[in-house]
Amino acid sequence: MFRLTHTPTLAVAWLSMVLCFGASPADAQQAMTGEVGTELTYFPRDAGQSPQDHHTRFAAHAAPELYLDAWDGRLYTLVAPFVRVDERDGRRSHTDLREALVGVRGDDYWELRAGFVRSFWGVTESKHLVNAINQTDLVENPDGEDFLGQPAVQLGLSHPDLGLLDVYGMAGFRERTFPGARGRLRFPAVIDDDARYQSEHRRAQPELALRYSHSFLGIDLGLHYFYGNQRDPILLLDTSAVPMGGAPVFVPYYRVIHQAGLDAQLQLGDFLLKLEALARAGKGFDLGEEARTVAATTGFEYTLVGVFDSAIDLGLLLEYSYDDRDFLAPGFLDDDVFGGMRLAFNDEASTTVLAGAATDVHEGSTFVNLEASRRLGDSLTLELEARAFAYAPVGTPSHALRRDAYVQTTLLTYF
Amino acid sequence: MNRQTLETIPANPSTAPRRRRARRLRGLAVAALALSLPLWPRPGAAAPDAATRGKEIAVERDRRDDGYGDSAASLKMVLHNRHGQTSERALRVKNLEVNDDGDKLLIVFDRPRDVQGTAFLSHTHVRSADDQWLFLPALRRIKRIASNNKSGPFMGSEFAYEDLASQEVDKYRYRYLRDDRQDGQDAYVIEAIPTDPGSGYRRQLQWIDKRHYRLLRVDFYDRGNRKLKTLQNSRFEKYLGRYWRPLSMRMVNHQTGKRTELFWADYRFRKGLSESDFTQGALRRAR
Repeated sequence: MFRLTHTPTLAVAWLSMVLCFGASPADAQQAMTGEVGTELTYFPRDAGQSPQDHHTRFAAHAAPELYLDAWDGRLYTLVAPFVRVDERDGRRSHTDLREALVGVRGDDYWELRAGFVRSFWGVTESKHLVNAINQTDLVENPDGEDFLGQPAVQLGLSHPDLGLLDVYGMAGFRERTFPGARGRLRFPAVIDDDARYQSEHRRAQPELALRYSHSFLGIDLGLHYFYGNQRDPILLLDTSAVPMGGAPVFVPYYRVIHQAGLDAQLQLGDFLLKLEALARAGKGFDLGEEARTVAATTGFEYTLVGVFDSAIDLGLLLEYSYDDRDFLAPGFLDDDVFGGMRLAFNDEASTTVLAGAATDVHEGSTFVNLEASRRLGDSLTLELEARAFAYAPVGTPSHALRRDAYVQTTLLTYF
Repeated sequence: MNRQTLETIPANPSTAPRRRRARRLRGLAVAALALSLPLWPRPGAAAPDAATRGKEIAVERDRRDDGYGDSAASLKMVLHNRHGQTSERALRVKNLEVNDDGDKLLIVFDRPRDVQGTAFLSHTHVRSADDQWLFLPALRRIKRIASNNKSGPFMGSEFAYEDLASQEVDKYRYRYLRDDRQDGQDAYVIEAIPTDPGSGYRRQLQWIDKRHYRLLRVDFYDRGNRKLKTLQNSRFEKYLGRYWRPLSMRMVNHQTGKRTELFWADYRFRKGLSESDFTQGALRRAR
């Protein structure tokens, strides 16, 4: 149940750093912030596969964050552990170090950090294609917007006219988290705990990533290169395993890839035009010859300010995603169109609503999504999420998930 | 797991003007004034006079705020609804005057706690659309946001982004109306009509004190020309021997009965901030 799989030697390093911060005038109360959430999920339909047996699921999580610095912010430490406890699925209960690092900043132009880091690359909403550094914490939420910490040494070089260059050296791969047999929102398969690797170093495979980004003339441009274990696993059917409750067992296989890509965003009047594209080279799907594949996500966001003579802003989103790989892993849809609408009420409670749908162009599976959030009082936020497969033809991975439509409400407390 | 609450956002809570353009306009205003001298004083002296005089006052106010370099301050906002309930916002603002272009601005949000750590970066431009980015701490993501949202409320308050943005002289047509007394001071009253079609206002009435050219009060009229809000600035303090800043701002919405009070504190000027404090790298680091 305790799934912090990486030995936090760096955690020990930062701990000793923290003890050296005796001289720092950091205010003890302000140094620690974070959130605690309680979540209730309701699945209206019967589960499709045993041993899934529940309609309701209660879970809670805590994500505190500790920040301390000295010498006017030139030396700092940041620790952000995470713990999730789930009533139904032992594999969904897990802990992580989202961040645990020591950083040093030299003047305005460079910064070096070491430890568990979090980085986000990308501009599109429906898919985060180029976000290469952090592994997806898929068991948290199937939308793939939660990420595990990544051990790395990161050097950032920044100049106002030249842009930003980040270089990452990593060794300490994180495996993707998947629901357990009892968990809902999983494929008609159980994903084995024991992953396989192309690299003989397995998780200790040395990895390198670079990203250059710059903004000019209303354009944000990012170029990146990545070498290492691909974060998306290939799922291999394990024919030797005993099926659990009739469900086949799949083993995640992590291959080593070279990847290069770009992300770009352009502001044009009320439109934000977006593009993420990449090419990757790695073992083909028979795990034999090298294969090169490309993927791209592109679209726009159009903002209407103050609709219906009110203070409400309406954002319209449309994105198209293309990925020329065959069906690999829990990426539901591979040639998709996503359309969505975001309402920001601009009220005191910062109420927002996001409604969207995504369709796989070839398969026809359609997924609908509704999210809303609102602040209650000063430190409490209420979130709502409702998702379902509106159409999931037999023979597609979505077909099994059509029974896992859910409504989820989360109450978050911030401190 | 923190779904973002500050997705579409803000404009320009900067109060600093464009330096070079202001100087050019001042020259123009003076020339126009000189050319119109033979027409004074004529009874029923008409619109061109009032327009020139109005612009001259606006330009002078702009000029007096020039050259501060960079500044930083803390801001507390208190929102009052119709029923007397209040909620608070707290944020820290950094400002940089830029040669030949608009100002740069970095805001870090402290309260409410669900947006704590969110940061906003704005590069305003004189000749093109502003560039604005938001840093969302839950994902460690920098997101560009559309900068067309000037008339929307800032953090749910009665201040629109355009109210807090730097008052560019060019963005309005002016007309001098009369002299008046406001807050115990002699003041000019000028009418400012926004030329930006994205503005939420048809016109504004501005009270500018004669002695220091500080903006004392503004009446805002909505697009239907109905009186919408009144802003009152008070508790002015002088920094670096010449720059006046109000420590209190009060915006009352006459149509909804709500009001917002702004309290500025910890003003610091010329801290040595530079462009590298207003890059996306700096946005990512902001705390």
